[in-house]
Amino acid sequence: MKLALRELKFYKFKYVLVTLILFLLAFLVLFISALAQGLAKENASGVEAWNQEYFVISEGVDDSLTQSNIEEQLDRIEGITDEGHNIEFSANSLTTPESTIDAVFTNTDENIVPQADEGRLPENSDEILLNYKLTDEGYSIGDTVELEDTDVTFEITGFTDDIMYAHTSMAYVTDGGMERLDSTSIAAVALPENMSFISDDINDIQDVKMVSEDDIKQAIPSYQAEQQPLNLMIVFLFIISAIVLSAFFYVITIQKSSQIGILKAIGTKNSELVKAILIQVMLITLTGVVLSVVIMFALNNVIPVSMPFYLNTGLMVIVSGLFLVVAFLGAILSLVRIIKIDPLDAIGGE
Amino acid sequence: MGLVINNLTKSFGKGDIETQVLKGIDMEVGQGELVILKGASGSGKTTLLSIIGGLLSRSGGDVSLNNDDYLDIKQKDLTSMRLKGIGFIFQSSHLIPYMKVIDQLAFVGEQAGLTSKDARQRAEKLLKEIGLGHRLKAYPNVLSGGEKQRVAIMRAWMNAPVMILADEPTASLDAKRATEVMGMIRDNIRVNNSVGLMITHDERLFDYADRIYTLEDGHIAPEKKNEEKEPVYN
Repeated sequence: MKLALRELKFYKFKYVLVTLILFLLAFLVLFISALAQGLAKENASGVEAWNQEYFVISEGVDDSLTQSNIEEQLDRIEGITDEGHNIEFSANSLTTPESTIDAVFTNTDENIVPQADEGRLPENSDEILLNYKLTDEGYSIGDTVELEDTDVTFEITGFTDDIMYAHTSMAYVTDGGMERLDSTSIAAVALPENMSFISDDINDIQDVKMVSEDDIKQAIPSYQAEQQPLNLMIVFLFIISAIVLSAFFYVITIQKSSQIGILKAIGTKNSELVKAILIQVMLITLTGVVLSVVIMFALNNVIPVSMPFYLNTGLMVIVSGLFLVVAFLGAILSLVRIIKIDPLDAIGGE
Repeated sequence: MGLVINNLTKSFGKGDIETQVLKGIDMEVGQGELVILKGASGSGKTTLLSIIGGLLSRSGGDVSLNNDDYLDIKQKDLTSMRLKGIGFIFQSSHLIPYMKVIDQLAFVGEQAGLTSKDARQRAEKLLKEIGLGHRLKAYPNVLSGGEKQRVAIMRAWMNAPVMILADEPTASLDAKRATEVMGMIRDNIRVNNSVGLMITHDERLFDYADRIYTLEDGHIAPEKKNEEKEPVYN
């Protein structure tokens, strides 16, 4: 322990530089993860908010809720199960003083509606609950929103965070509210868990099929397209981190080969030298990662709500742990080198 | 007693390219004795010293220290033997750049199992003895060449070794410093009753030796006694 710490202290500048590089890499990984999570939320948080396991939707619409319409088959579905929740969908545009904003209207019917984070859920047909992101457009509780090119207006009664579908904010209105819209359709019947046993019966109905929540999410066109490249970037950043760490520590180890020879000649055990390197690598990585986590949390408070950015504590713990594993792998090259150094090199001058 | 070497051989390479560097060395170094090993470059001095120090394996022969075949043990135990039983002094001081003077010694003590407190106390005592009491908290980069080598010598004595092996310890010092350091090494060997073996070319230092061996072509040349002093055989 002393060996490792004394060296870090003496060569402060050198090791601060590596820590800085580690910090930047860890920060980039965490930032991209948060971005990926944020984008995932923009795509699928509305679906996740229902907290349902299965969905009965139209066949041949690529599992897309906006294109699905199962009104004709509804009676037959209800004949099989009465535990389903009907989900109505209607894509509309809201007019703001400056622009128009797309919003997917859905109904507050049944018990699968998320709670209001601010204000309350709509109770009358002229009330509406909006995605929290729309506060960024200047909306607040009590304001009136108007559907584009119509006289239909709603009064905002509340906001809820994370209700989006395919980058479009969702708006909750009552069944009565849905009736005031031009085009609505029953897009799906949502089923809670343990309902897989009826899938055969459902799939027997013409033009209807039963899919999982994950199928619905994956089918959102922007979902995969955004997640895949970001995840690829994260994987590559991990590989880069491993290579940077190994290269750096390997060069340092080569530089101090003769010193390690001396330490061995005067009787320092291999285990002691290996321990010193491991402590150094772990300390540097830990410092860099902790620093990046702290900055991420600080950043989370100042980033505007409209930006797709979501800190998932569980994921941050995993990413930080992975960084330590990667650092350990990067150190292996140096460890092999250290063990191979011959104390004989110390004797007889250079 | 002391260091006893019988018919020690060492070859490098195999088959046609085999070269025998040491061709049957017989020598003895008694306790409290400082023996100088001299010889031309490439005569095998450093090879011999490395074998005695357990850094290099031998091809044949017997080596014992106080009747103990200390080289015939596992590699791991040999490292521990080097730590506790043998003190090395190298050509240049080879101090660890990131350790303060007192820590250079204390580290070796701690490695050998001393508590941090005991190690520091002993280190401080040794360093004060050689007049480096005011340099305890200094890093090697601010020490003069002589000071560095004095620290290195005391590092070798930190664990009260049975045997001191020195490879041209004065090579990097001027004449005045060299005799000073030499005197220190000899005095320490006498006081601690250690076995002392030193490689050097410097004829001015031969006076400090109890005996001098000359290595020639892989053999020990006939012994040259220093002054008229009778060597002590135990």
